[in-house]
Amino acid sequence: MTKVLIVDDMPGIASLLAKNVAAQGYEPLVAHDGFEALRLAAAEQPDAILLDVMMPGIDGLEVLRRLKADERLEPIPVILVTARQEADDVVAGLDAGAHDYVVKPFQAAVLTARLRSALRVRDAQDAVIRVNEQLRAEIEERKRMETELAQAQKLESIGRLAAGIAHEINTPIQYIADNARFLEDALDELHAVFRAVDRLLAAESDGPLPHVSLAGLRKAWRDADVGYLIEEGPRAVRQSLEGVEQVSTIVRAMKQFSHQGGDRKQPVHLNHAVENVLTVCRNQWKHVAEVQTALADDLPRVPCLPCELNQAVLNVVVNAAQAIAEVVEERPGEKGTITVETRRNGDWAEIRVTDTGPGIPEEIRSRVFDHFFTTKGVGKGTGQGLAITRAIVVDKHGGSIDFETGPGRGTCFILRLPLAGASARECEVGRGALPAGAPAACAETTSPVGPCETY
Amino acid sequence: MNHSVLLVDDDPNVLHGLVRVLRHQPYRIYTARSAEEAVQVVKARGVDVIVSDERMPGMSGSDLLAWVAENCPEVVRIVLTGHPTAETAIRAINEGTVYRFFTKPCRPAELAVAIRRALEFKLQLVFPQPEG
Repeated sequence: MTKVLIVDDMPGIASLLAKNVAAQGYEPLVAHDGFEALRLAAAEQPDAILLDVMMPGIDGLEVLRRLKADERLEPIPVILVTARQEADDVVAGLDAGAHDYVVKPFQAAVLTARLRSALRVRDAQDAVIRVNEQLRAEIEERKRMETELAQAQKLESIGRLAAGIAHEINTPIQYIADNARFLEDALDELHAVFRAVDRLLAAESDGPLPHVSLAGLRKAWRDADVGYLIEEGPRAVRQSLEGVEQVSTIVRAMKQFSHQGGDRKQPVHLNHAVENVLTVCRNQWKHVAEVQTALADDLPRVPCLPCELNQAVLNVVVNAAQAIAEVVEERPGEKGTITVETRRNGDWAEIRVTDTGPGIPEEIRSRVFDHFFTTKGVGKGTGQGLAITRAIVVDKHGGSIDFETGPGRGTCFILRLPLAGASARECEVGRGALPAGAPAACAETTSPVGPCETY
Repeated sequence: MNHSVLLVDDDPNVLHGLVRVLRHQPYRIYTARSAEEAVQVVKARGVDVIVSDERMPGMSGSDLLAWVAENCPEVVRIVLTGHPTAETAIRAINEGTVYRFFTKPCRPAELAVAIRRALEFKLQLVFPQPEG
């Protein structure tokens, strides 16, 4: 039942008010001074308060101030009950947070109408607060999920990387081991030849060579297939060294790729980062595409979170490979091309990753960076890659991400990172604002997303 | 005995290495750098055993072995992959009905023994041994 607290030092008025309130179906509570009013308000949590201004002890305005200062009592709507000559008090009261006022002598209908209005406003406020809380909880939940998903995507891409890297390492290990075994056998076989030669040399020192000992050498020579070994031995060694180099390159790149830079930005050679990414995910593109790079020599180091940046570039490169795979699947034997460029563009460093995939259809362009959005089959992609890349580039680095695409002419993703002063702009970055001097690239792209949406 | 074995891998170094370690084996060795090339060799030469990598540009190893199982079932099929996944293993078994499944790195002796067994297996298939 709705409770209304009535505060008046004059018992006659208090009981009159109580009668009116009760007639409306509310439960009246009565206090005869300010202290009692505060005590009852705290104990009963009324839904509204009718508060006399002129009272001995602490007056109505003071009671109002104390109510408004108490977090639990603050939301209760207060209607001041004043005499006509107390206009200044009315203003002070409304300023102090009173909901409304009535002037004595009052008409019962007016009083109850104002009370109903106050309760309606209170209900509406409650509803707004409830909805706000729900929204806040939903936002929290969403943020938590996005963090978890980012983590999951990272693990997934690391898992995929690890499998690819295992392949990249297992293959050279296969032929390095084969070649080592071959060389071991070859040396065994050559041993017979060496022994025959040794015998000949020993015999020679005793005088002219007997014909029969040459036959022994010839047999050993033939058995060992020396011609083959002489040809294949050096090749086996050279190819093994190639394999060792391949394994070391991958291990080195992997080490740099997973380099834990912590939460602080540090100057990063974008070209090195790009090369590392291309090496560690080679297995994901090499079957469908050739990679061409055009990396600018004059690119200064860029303030970055190295690990996050690698992840962002990796996602775009893997995305390019997957886009090309869609096209190549239908044309066996053909490969597409992934072109990776870095360049300086004013105060910005740009990474452009272009694929020869099918292009992004118009109707899904606006959703490319959405979480969970994927065109890949179930189990093939989490729909997180580009969303995370966008979050890393835009939110964490104050950069921008765009794409240029057209049906049948592939897609070019453009990642832009601010070259300097990133720390000064970080506070803006958090809100997704674009630092001044951003290239007006969104004007020339066909994409409705990217920096445009942050304005 | 005029057997032949076809090795398929997109990495030429793997093919060279395998040819070197299998050089004393009593069969002729062909190599192919892709599944498409392998199909041509199988059609043109009619090999006894095929050993294929899984991941190659263009047609995959499991597609190749599925094609062989369908079109030249007498060719015994072996997988040698550096990237074994449950999916490829299942496809190799169900669609390629493979005889053996190896992962890289694989010891040459094991592969050599498997190829020998595959050749014997093939003889049994073509000329069943009389009972007793």
